[in-house]
Amino acid sequence: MSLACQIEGKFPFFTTLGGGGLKGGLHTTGAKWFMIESQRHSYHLVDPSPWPISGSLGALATTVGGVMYMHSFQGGATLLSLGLIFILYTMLVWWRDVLRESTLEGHHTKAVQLGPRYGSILFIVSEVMFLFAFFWASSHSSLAPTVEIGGIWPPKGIGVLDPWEIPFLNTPILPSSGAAVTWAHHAILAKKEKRAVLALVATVSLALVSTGFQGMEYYQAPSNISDSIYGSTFFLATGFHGFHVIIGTLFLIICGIRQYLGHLTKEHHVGFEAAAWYWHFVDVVRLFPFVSIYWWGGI
Amino acid sequence: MPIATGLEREELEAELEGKKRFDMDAPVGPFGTKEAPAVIQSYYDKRIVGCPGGEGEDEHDVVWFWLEKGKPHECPVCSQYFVLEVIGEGGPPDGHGHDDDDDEDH
Repeated sequence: MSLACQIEGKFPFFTTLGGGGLKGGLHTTGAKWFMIESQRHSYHLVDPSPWPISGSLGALATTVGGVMYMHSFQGGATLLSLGLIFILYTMLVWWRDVLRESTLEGHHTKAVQLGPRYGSILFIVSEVMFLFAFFWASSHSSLAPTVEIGGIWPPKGIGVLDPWEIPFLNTPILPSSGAAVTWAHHAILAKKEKRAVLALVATVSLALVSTGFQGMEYYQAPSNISDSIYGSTFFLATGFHGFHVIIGTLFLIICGIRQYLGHLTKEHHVGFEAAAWYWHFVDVVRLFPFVSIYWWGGI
Repeated sequence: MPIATGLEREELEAELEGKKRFDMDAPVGPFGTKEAPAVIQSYYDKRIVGCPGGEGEDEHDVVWFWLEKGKPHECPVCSQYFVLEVIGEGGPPDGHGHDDDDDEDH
C-alpha cells in the first residue's frame, strides 16, 4: 500500500481524472481501500463509460459519410472526417482509461488479465481470416486467368515488380523485427528494463524501415490499383498488409513508451504480449504475399 | 515485490505469503451425511450450492439449490446432506434488504 500511495502521489494527474463519474471519489478517497478490502472475487466490475456509444456514433458517421463521399454527396467528406476523428478520439480515451484502471488503479488481477488475452487472440484469428480472403482473391484470379486478361498471369500488358529487388530485400526485415520483439520479451522476463526499451526501439526501427521500403516500392510500381484484376488484388493484399504493419508499429511504440515509464513488469505485461502476438502475425503474413503474389504471381 | 497497486498488488502480496487473496474456489470435502453433514461456509444467510453426488459411479449431474441458515438440505438425487455455516456479516446476499419472502413474487 505504501508503494501504491507513492505511485498515486507521483501521478496525481492520472488519479484525479481517472475513473470518472460522481462515484469517481472511490478512486481518490479512502473509500477505495474499504471497497477493495471487502471484495472477495477477483473480477473487475467496470464503471459506466461513454466510450462504447461514442465509438458507435463515430462508426455510424464514418460509414454514412464514407458512402456519401464516394457518391459525391455534399457534406460527405465532412461527415466522414468527423466520424474518423470521433473513432480515433474514442480509441485514445478508451485505451487511456484501460491503462489507468490496470496500471494506476490495480484492477487487472490475474483472472482479469485472461480477458484481454483471449480477446487479442480471437482478434488476430479474425485478422488472419480477413487477409486470407485477399490471397484467395489473388489465387482465384491468377490460377485460371480469364480471356479478358489475355489468359495469362500477370495479365497481358501489365508491368510487374521484380520480386528479387525491393520485395525480396523487404521480406526478411519484418521477421528480423519479430526476432527483436522476442529479445524485448526476454528482457522483460529477465527484468532488464533498459534493455527491453532498446530492443523495442530496434523492433520499431526495423518496422519503419519496412514501411519505408513498401512506400518506395509503391512509388516506383509500374501499375496501380486500377490496372486490371492484377492491380486490384496486388494493392488490396499488400496494401492491407502494410496497413497492419503500421497498426502493429503504433502498438509497439505504445509498448516502448510504457516500458520506458515502468508500466510493464515481469509479472504483468499483457499489452506487450498482445503487441508481440500481433507483430508475429504481421511478420509471418508477409511471407504469403511475397511467395504467392510477388514471386509466383509476378514471374 | 513488483510495481503494482490496488487489488492486483494485494493478490501478488498474498501469493508471496503463500495465501490466496480471493475466495474463488468451490467448496469441496467428504460426502455429507446426516451425522456428518457437508458444511458450506457463507458470508451471508444463504448461498447457492451445487451437489455433484459422490465419487466415481455415484457421481450425478450437478443439482443446484439455495442452502439457507438453519435449514439443512438433503440432495434429492444422492441424499448428500448439507448445512450452512455463516462466517461473515450474515443477512441476504443480494443486498436488497430482508424481504426474502417477497422476492419470490417478482
